[in-house]
Amino acid sequence: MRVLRLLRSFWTNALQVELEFRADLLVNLINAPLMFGAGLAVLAAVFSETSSVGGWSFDEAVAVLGVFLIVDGFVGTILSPNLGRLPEYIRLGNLDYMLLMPVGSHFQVSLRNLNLWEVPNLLLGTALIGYSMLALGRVDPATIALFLLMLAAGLTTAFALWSIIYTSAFWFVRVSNLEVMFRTLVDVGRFPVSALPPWLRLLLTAVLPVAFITNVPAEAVAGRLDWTTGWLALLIAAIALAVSHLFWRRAIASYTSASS
Amino acid sequence: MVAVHRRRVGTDMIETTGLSKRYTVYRKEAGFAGSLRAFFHRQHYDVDAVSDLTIRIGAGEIVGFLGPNGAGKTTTLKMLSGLLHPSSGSVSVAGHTPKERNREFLRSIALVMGQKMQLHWDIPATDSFLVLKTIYDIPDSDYRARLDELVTMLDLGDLVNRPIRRLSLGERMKCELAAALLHRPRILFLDEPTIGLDVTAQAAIRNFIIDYNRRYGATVLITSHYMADVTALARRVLVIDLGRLVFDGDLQALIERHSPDKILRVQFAEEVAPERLARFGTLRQIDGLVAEIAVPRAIVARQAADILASLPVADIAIEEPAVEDVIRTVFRKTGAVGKPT
Amino acid sequence: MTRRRFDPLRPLRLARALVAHSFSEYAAYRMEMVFWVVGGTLPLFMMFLWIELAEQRATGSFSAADFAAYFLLVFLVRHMTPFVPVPELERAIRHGELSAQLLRPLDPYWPMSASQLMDIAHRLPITVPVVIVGMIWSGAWQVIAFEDWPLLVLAVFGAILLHYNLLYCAGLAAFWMERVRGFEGLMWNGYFVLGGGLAPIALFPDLVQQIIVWSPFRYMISFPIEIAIGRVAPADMWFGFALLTFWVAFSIGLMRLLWHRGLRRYAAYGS
Repeated sequence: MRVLRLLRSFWTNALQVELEFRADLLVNLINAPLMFGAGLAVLAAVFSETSSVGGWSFDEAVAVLGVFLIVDGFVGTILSPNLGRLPEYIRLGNLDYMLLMPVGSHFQVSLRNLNLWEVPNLLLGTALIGYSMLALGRVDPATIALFLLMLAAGLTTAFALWSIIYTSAFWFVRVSNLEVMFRTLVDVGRFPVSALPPWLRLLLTAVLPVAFITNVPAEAVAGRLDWTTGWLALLIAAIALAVSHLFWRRAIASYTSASS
Repeated sequence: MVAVHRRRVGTDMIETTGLSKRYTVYRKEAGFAGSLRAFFHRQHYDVDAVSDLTIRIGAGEIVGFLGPNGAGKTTTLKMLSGLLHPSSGSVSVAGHTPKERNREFLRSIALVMGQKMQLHWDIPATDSFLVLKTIYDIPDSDYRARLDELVTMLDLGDLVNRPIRRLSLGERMKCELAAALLHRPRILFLDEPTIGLDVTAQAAIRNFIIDYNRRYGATVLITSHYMADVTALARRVLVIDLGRLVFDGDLQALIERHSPDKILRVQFAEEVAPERLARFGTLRQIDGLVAEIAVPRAIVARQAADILASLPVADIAIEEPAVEDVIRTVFRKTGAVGKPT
Repeated sequence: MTRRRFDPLRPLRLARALVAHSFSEYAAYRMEMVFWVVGGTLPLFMMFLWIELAEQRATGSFSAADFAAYFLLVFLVRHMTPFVPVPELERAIRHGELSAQLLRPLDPYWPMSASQLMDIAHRLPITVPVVIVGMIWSGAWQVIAFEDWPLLVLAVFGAILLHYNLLYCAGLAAFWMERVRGFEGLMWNGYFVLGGGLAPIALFPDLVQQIIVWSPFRYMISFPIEIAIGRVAPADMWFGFALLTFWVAFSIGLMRLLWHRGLRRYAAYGS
């Protein structure tokens, strides 16, 4: 299959690039545990005042933190090294070269690189999910399958949001603030959204589907997922992906290159 | 000068009719007050980067694209390669409409920009080539053969195995060319490929382009600031200024049209007073025993004979004026009539 | 050869030119302001979360008003602590843009500082009204220790210096490392998550608190806010300022050291 061959080639190449940045591994080996510890410390701080947050127990809230770490790792391995570089691609002209190649430009801009050094986050996040499942006594194939499905939907939605945010780089040259914006929204998602006041909850589910990125997969772990939410998560992922792709096509059509 | 075969077989490779591109830009006055004003209210105005460009280029031609900075050369190349959508007019390249960017079209072209790199800074060129191999679906056997050939033609040797950041500008450009040609495009757009390179590197790249054109009958459209690139490569030139085509034809014809004079270079055996030279033509320069006189083409032979007969001449030569001078004249003429935007 | 006389007005003139330049840069990107306004609102989200929590239970060390005041100030301080130097330095060093800057008779540190100050200044007209309205709406102004304002100003100033110089050091690491973006994540998790951006340090487990108090992270966000809401005991105040001073001095020293060592390397390596 052509897509798989391309991905293999892209990521082999990306790995060769990454091996040039060995120091990154070191930084991430410090960062991942720090982030893990800091996340747990904040969670502990929250639960030092109360025993249930928005109806979630500590063991359940750990799953939300776990999903958050996985999403953050996904951002680090895939999103940030690809779409995150779009402004640079536009400025330095790499995008011109990508557009000249007989490969879908959205595909190439989204999946050309891979940052392996961010993988520790993924592992620590998975470990937290594992802990939560054990503590809640919910280690069974159905739970795991449902979790993976919801996680896939959540990551797809996250990808689509990033794509939409970064595609606006075609119109706004300085987008470093965009990433902060996204990070903010996902950072809020490290807590159960149900602990927020109703109007904010509405904002994070209906307007910006952050709840579907971090909370819904954790609901699958904690056994709190209902059918409606599950289907909605899949539907939102599909719609977001389609919208992001159309937006990309629109942007490329009006693209007027870095210099005339 | 290298003789370049002009193969005009079948249909044209590149064909544009009334091609135009208009940009909207905004203007800001310098200084704090200007920034403040621009912050609240921006003045927009249109710039015609390219207007009403109609050209035809046959298969296998090498065409030089000349014009001062901002004349619209790069904009044109980007429209021809599908990176920019034209505001109006039509383009056809190798039978395709570039802006549709379909795969067949993309496989048949390459664009090399002297100021923009596609190879990754931190790894050797070969590692990037392998990705291009997959992107362009180049079979293994072809890939090896083509890479070997390009390495030989460009005299790259082991350079392809070094990280790009360790290469000199000239070496980097050679690697960029190799990258652009791995899929063996039939049409090659070169935007200032020799910019910033030293004379030797420039010559190497020129020779390579000629070589590639000969071997594969590729159509080449090249822009350059260096006149030597154009005189060495292209017999046909397009001259563009303020977005408009002001000349399309033989380089030789361009020289004849815009420079009706030839230059007589005379070496005298003894000092000659400048006044005595005035009757032969326009004295452009006199430096000791050497004089340069501009003489109308029609009478250059007669005047030369006359000088030989009446003055103490040690040596005499009839030369074409330097292309730089001619081009400068062309731009000065069009610049005078060109409208301010 | 005449030695150039010391001109006391030169720094002033330079500062004016640099600030004006930064302003025109920012004005050119006016749309992006929308993004950072949204991007910097995490503390406000946290505020709502904590207020909600505080209202659910009867007692606790922080009241809803305490949380409101705390996070409104986190929001303010967050927008006063800059974060651009890492990517900018990385680019300048790796792609050789630094060479052009080195030719000028002015350390590149200053133009970037001016740009940072401008960044801070152009955020204030939006952040300050938000904080004032928020304080009045939530009644949080009642818990502010207004009488300690000189200490507060000092602590905020120290926080900005510390944060900026540490980030500058991270950026300078680009002299030795090919890519330094990783440090940004490290700084974020350090100063924002551990430094009190998501939860007041006082609520962390004891062991964690003890580590944070000695780390520079506390002094980048939490410390000035603790002063503002009157939660620093007099004895602790001395300790806090001593450590703040130490970390600021450390960051500046490290920054100068890395700069000089790095330059030597840069010159030898050539880029």
